[in-house]
Parts: sequence; C-alpha cells; structure tokens
Amino acid sequence: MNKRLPSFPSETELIAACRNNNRQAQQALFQKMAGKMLSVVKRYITNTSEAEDTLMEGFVKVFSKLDQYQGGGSFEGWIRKIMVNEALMSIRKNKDRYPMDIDVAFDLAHPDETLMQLGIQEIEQLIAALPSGYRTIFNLYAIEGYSHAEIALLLDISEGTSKSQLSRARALLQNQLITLQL
Amino acid sequence: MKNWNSVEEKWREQLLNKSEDIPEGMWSRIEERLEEKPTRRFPIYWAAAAMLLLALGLSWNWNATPEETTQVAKTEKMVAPLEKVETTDSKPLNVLNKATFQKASLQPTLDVATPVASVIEEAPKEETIASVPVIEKQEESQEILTVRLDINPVVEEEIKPAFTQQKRRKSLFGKIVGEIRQALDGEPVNWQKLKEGNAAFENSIHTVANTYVKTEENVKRTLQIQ
Repeated sequence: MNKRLPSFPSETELIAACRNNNRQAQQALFQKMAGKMLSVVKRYITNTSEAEDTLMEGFVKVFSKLDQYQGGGSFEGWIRKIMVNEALMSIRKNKDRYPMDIDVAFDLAHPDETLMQLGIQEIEQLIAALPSGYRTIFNLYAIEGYSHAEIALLLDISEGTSKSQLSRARALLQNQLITLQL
Repeated sequence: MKNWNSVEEKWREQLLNKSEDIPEGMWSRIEERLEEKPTRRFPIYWAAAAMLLLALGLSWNWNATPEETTQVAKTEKMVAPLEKVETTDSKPLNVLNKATFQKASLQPTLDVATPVASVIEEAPKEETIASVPVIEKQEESQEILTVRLDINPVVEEEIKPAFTQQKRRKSLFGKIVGEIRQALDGEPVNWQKLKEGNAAFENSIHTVANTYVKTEENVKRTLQIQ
C-alpha cells in the first residue's frame, strides 16, 4: 500500500487506465475510494470481517463492470451503488431478513433535539444498534437518498412496507437514545 | 421543533464523507482475484469440434459449386434441339394474327432413337401448353398450325442423379458430424463405413495416402543419394 503510485491528472484518465486493466491505476482508484466505501458497507453490515469481504467483492465488481459506466453521473456515486448492492446481497445471503413489528410509542413527528447534536461516532453507533432490516431501510432512505419506490424494488417489498419500516426505524432510534445513554 | 428530514440531512452530511482505515493486504487480495483467469465458457474440445465442423462445412460448399455449373451446362444442351427444329425447317410457321396464336405441345416419348422429332401439320381446335415460339407474319392465310415435338426427356433423367448425389453429400456431411461427435465421446469411428459409396471422399483419402507414400519414397531416395 505504501508503494508510490503514478498520479492521474483527471478522473477520466484514471477510469480509462482502469478499463485497460492497468493495475497501478486500479490500485490508485482503490486507495482513493476504499476508505469511504468501507464506511458505506459497515453501515449495512456491522460484522467487520463480513464488511471487508463485501468491500472486496464490490471492488472486483467495480473493475469488471467498469465498461458499463457511461460517465453520466458521479463516478463515486456509481461505485457507492455497487457497494450498497453488494451489501444487500450479503445480507440476503446470510438470511438476515426484515424485522418483526416492534411496539413504539414515540412522537415520530418531533424527533428529540439531542439527535441533532450527535457526533459521527454516536450516529454510527445508533444506526448499528438497529435490527438489520430497519437499518437497511433507514440507510437506503435517509443516508443514500433512495425513494421508497426504489427501496421496494431493491428489497422486493411493497412501498408501504418500506414506509412503515422507516417509521419504526426512526422510533427505534429515539428509543435507543435512552437505552444507549447518548 | 425539528423534523426527521432535517435530522437525517445533518446525519447524511456527516456520514457521506466519512472514511474508514483500510486493513493491510486488502489490495493484494483484490489483485489476486483480478489475476484469476475467467473460467472457460465451454471446454477446449468443443472449440476444436466447432473448428472441425466449420472446415468440413466450407469444403463441402466448395465441392458443391462445380456441380451446379455442370448442371447449368446440361440444361443448355436440352434447349439446343428446339432451336434446331425451327432453323432447319425451310418453311417458316405462319400465323394470321395474335388471336390464332398457336400452342405447341411437348410430348416426351420413350423413343430414345429419335431425340428430336419432326414437325407435324395438324389442325386441332384446343391444344394446350405453349413452349415453342411461332413466327408471326403479315401474310393473310387462315392456316392453323400446331407444332408437335417429340423429345426424349433425357435431361430430366440426368438431373435426377445430380440431385440425389447432392442429397447424398448432405447425408454424408451429417454422417461425418455424427462420427466426429462419437470420436469426441471417445468411441471408435469407422471411417471405412463412412467413405463407402462416396467416390470423392474415397479419392481424397487415396490422394492423401499416395502423397504421403511418394514423399516418404523421395525422402528415402534423397537420403540414399547423400
């Protein structure tokens, strides 16, 4: 990792070199994106080694599907989507399915003010404490910015289910503020 | 009072730029995966079989082409006697007008000795099948002529063998394919049976064998001289 890599003047040139199977370019792209992408994957998969395996599979897919990137949107966004899909596949593989109903009795319309004051580690801790299914839907909707229709397609559930799961996830997050004593 | 959207927006800003430390050796693992050769879609012997089939198909087409040209030549031979009938007749066949344009019938007979027969004058009212053009003139004569030609249908008989030969070629090709499949499955192939009834295939085998023997003899002679 400490080996000095050639610098590429632009992202377009870096992508072109990666497409030509230039290993140094691929390593440069990995070094540039891996940290951020591991953070993305870890929000879905709390187990560290599983998250790292998923990241690795994600990058193999990035390099093999690079020809499909048309350059229309952000390249980082394209890689992020691959990582999210890979994480969802990993969750499905491990049969960590969607949550059962949990009784919540919080005012969902008015979140606790404390939630606004949380630091990044506390936010991650809160999200990681959610059951896998709630966590997935909360991450997809609130952090990645997917719509309920897109989530329904991705997870093969109805839009209504996506909405109700999001509400429950939000309620749980408030609940955990007390449980985790943040 | 804040709502959830503003909370989530703030969280998103913080989380999207977060980066984790990458464990050492991860790139090497990815590199290993990238170095892996993709698994073959189909085994090598399938590729070999495909090449062989292609070669056989091409050679089959190549052989079929001269046959078609000879067939055309034979067809031309068939036409020749008809023209001869018209030209050898000293009297041209006269017809008054288009309404009385006469039809000629080609009645093939089995008489091999007379491949082209004579012109017979008759006056049938309703004869069918037009195939011989009749020269039209301005001369005003109500004479109605019918041309009857007796032609030995030699050509039809000649075409038939060509067709069956072609058909046989196709079936031979199918047989060869079948035998190749057998060979690929590890079963013995009876080439002798395959070449039976197919002179071209047999000749090719002999040509190859003779060339091999001659070459071997030449090599031996050369070595003896040296």
